[in-house]
Amino acid sequence: MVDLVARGSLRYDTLHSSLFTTRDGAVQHIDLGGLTWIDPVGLVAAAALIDRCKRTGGDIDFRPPTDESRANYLARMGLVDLLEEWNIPNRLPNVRRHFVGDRLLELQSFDSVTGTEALARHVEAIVAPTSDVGAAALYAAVSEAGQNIAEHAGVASGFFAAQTVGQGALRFAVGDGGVGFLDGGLVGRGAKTDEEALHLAIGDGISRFVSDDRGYGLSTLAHHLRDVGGELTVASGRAYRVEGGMRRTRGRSHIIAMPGSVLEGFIPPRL
Amino acid sequence: MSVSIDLPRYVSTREMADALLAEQHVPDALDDERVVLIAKHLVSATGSFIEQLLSRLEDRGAREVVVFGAPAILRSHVNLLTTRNQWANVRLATDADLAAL
Repeated sequence: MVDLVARGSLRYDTLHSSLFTTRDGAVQHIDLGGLTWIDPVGLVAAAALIDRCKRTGGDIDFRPPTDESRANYLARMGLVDLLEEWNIPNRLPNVRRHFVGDRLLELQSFDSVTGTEALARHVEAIVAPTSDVGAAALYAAVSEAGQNIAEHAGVASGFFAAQTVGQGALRFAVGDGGVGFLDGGLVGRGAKTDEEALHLAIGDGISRFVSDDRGYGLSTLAHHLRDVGGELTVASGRAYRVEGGMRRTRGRSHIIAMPGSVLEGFIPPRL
Repeated sequence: MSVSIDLPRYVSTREMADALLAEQHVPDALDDERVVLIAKHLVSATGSFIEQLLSRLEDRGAREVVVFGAPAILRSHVNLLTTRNQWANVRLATDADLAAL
């Protein structure tokens, strides 16, 4: 079990440095007291960590952001609903939730491939009026990621959240508190580290399945996001990997392993 | 001879590909026939769906698969498959294909 302690921003590149070996074996601390910014991937990662802890019978000590606007944001993004569903005291505020179109797509859980497909259609429909190509990419990304969780993660449920950033760009995240990429079957395909597992998973044609026609899902998704000028980031265990955009492909390795996996997609504006 | 398959608006899972072949009564043995994928209604598709569909068609003996009316996301998938040489017998429809319709 690991604690999540946010001191500043919680994004894909600060996720691992916000993880700590738990201080108390029976209680997981989700300490967002110092949070100054959170991307959808941070929100999804927090939900996945809590889900994993609850499934194994652990208790959660949740600390909300001291910054009022961040606390309001977390409540508005639906974290409060999940925490209450899990009966976790949270001290997040009650906020009004006006419909804001595709600006915010609240944190949601999904529990099957069918549920993922329905969610994918829902978010596609919200984004489509402003971006046909972006909406199509979002549908494919959410469906592919959800299918990946069902086939590889070893858990029944996952989480999704998205937000418009800048001039109409969209950042979305899908994650789960499952076994992660390495233990999800890539050890059997030669991966020895989380970095190697991510390389194989996003590279062409490797997955848990041996058949030649399987295993292209995530790499196809990365390719398509690159095609539209976006990027795909996947984090699991001690590693994360970024594909696409203007950045070079790269991997990073960290000391503390993140249970499960999270995927963040970025779709640029005006598509 | 050719066999036509109409793609619906949204396609995502591998199971959907299998179900589509059954719903549209695609023969189990295609005997070197050409398959026409009509994608004019398609809004979005995952790579997993496309891979499964093409794999099934190849297993059934399709000679080639020609895609008509593909939106950007499907064109991207098909181009990627071509780049990888994963399925040599799939291609986007040309002007000549459209004229021959």
